[in-house]
Amino acid sequence: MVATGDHLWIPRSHLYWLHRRVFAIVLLIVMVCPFALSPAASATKTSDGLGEDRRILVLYENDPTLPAALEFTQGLKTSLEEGIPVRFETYSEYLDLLRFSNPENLSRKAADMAAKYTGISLDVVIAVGPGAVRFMLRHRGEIAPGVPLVFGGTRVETAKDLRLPADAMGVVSHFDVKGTIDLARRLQPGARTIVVVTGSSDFDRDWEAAARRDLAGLSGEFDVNYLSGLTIEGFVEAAKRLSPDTILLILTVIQDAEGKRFVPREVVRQLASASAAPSYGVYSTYVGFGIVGGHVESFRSVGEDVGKLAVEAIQGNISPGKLIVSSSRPIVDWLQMARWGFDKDRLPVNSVIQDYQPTVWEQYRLEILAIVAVMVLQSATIAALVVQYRRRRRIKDELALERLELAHLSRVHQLGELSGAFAHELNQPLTSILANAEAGERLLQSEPADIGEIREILKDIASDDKRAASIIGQLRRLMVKGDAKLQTLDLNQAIAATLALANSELVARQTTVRFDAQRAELKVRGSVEQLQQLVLNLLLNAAEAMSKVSVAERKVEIETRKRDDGMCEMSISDCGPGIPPELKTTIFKPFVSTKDKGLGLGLAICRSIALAHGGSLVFDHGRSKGAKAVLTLPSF
Amino acid sequence: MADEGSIVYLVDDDERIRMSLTRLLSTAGYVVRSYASAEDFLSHHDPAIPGCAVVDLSLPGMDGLGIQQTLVSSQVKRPIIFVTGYGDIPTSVRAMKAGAVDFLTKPVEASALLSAVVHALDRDVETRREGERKQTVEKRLAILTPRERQVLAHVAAGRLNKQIAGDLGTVEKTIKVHRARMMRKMEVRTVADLVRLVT
Repeated sequence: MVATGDHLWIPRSHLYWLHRRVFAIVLLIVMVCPFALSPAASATKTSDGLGEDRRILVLYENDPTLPAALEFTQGLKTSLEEGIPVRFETYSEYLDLLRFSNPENLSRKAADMAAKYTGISLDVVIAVGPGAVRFMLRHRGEIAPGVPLVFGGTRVETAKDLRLPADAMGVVSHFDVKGTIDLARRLQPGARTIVVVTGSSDFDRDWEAAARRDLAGLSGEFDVNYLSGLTIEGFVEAAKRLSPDTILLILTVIQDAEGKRFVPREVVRQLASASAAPSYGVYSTYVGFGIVGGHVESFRSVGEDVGKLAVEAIQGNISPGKLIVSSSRPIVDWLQMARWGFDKDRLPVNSVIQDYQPTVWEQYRLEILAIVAVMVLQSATIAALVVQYRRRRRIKDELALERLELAHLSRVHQLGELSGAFAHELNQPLTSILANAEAGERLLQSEPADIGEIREILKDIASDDKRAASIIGQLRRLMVKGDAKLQTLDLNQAIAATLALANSELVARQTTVRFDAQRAELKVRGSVEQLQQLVLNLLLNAAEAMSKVSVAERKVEIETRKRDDGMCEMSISDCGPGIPPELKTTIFKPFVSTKDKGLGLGLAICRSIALAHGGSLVFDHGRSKGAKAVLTLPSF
Repeated sequence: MADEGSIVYLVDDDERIRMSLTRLLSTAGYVVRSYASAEDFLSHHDPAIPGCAVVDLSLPGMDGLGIQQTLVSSQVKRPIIFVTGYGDIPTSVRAMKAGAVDFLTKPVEASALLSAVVHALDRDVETRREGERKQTVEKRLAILTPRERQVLAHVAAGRLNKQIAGDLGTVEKTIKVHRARMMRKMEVRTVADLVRLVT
């Protein structure tokens, strides 16, 4: 047994096993069995000088290997060890009445025991079970004349019928209807109906009468119904129809209305499982068979009480005819508690919970607390990190958004400044188209019309039209605001497209651009618009920087290459005055500009575009002449 | 239709425009020579060949105005029609002052371009004629004696022989001889012709 809180915990296997083997429902647990009192079973206890050794004979009615017998014995042993200050020896005998109940066997056993214990001075004889009591009452004169008799495991009613001698004392079992109902009321505080089930045998009817007596006081509070005179099927049907807030008390059904006989516990099994309401019983043997529980005696407590009486008898402290009622306590079946959803905390403090499965919480409270603490700490850490990450992410998003916004604004601004150049760029194909169309018209007027030439003209018109459309498309893409779409692109191609776009402006600025693209594609991942914006910005900066140098010197050089470390590099160099030394450290900062009219945002945006692409943008300050911007981007 | 032997020089950095304008001008019967840059055009330029130039104002390297200035400073009076994608007024004024025939905005309509070309070629012819006349006068003047040149100046100024003789400190008869020789050398019969020739 394990104590859990206020309750005792009994491993199910013991009781279950016991129940299967105990046939005599009615209780009286008939135990038999050699009584190994130990630690040293029949070991002698050192005398402390208070007198000679004590000798105790224990006679069990039944099977020695029953767990119930062992529990009884444990209780007995506890009391004896506490109560007898000197060495004592116990002798165990058992009758095995369930199997060998004929009188001859019993007589032979008596004769045998008489012979066996001749010359042994017994201090007390303990009889366990009514059969053992009767046997001893009949044969005590032969076996242990004059030795006081203590008995246990007997119903009150049985004991009263036994015509006990003056030197006999016993523990009688009381089946506590009232206590069981009290238990049920604690578990079902809302219940207002009690249904008591009894069978049709005389024994069953006696039970009904006893119950009516015990429960008479409750009739004001409860609607108490006595269900009897039914067949087993009738009982089951009735149980099925019960309202869930009913207390179903199953006493005994030894015989039903049709005269069929039953082992009551089996009836309990059927009724309890079919019942729509929780059921209770007064026999501990019912526990484990479907009832929630009852106020019943435990085998151990019976053993303890018997032991106490035995100690009194040894001390010569005999109260003639003394019968003490075994102490009973609430015993409940944990599975049934769970089935009905009853709260353990509602049980009286001395309750025993059978087959109790402690919750994980109860079993591992400290571990759980520790784990939870660790988890809470971890979670808190994680949460903090997440919050921090989110915040950072949000800031980053906002920054990215602002950068996007700014990049777009700056792009639109730049494009606006280049609008004249774009108009020119767009006018080129339009000029070509118009000239071609009019040339074609003229050709058609001549005789004969040169059809081959006209076909060429039409082809050229179509191709120029596409060229115009592509310029418009490019512009549109650069103008339109939107999320930067990442794509894999060829850096060289992006530069070439930018050069085409800026061509008119560069021509107007009389600036020539040399673009030495490495032949192989330079695959990078990024936003075409932003990268074009970056290139355009650097390109126009370069052109602008050279506005004061002679036309012949206005040269921009763009080079791209794949570096040995796998990065893509683009450099744009001009032949202008270079970056003033005082601006070298701040040139990428916003609002820093070498231009009179510049806002100073271009390079800041360019650098942030480069950083957003996982790259970098720096100026090569090692040059003697002009400025050289170097963009690096991760290859893809 | 253009005069025989007149050439339209086309300078534009855009190949497709060169192509289409060449085509248009060809259908109008002009011989077109096209160049992608100012430098290319100038290095091939022969001022003696009659014709006009259609020049894109914005060119890589030297631009259209650069061509004009180069020609002007070289005393080459090649009529130029400027074509531009986005012409601004200061630029066009500069161009016209420097002698541009016209300043056309792209896309150029065929009628505008062709009439500009006709106009330019006319001017070229005129210029050339004028040039030839000046050359002729200079040649004739070159063979005059100093005294004959003096007499020419006085005649052209409308003075009478007697007055000229008085101014030059000689007799009227001598002046008459000089005058007759001068008129013969200058290949004119009347004073009016002479005046028209030398002014």
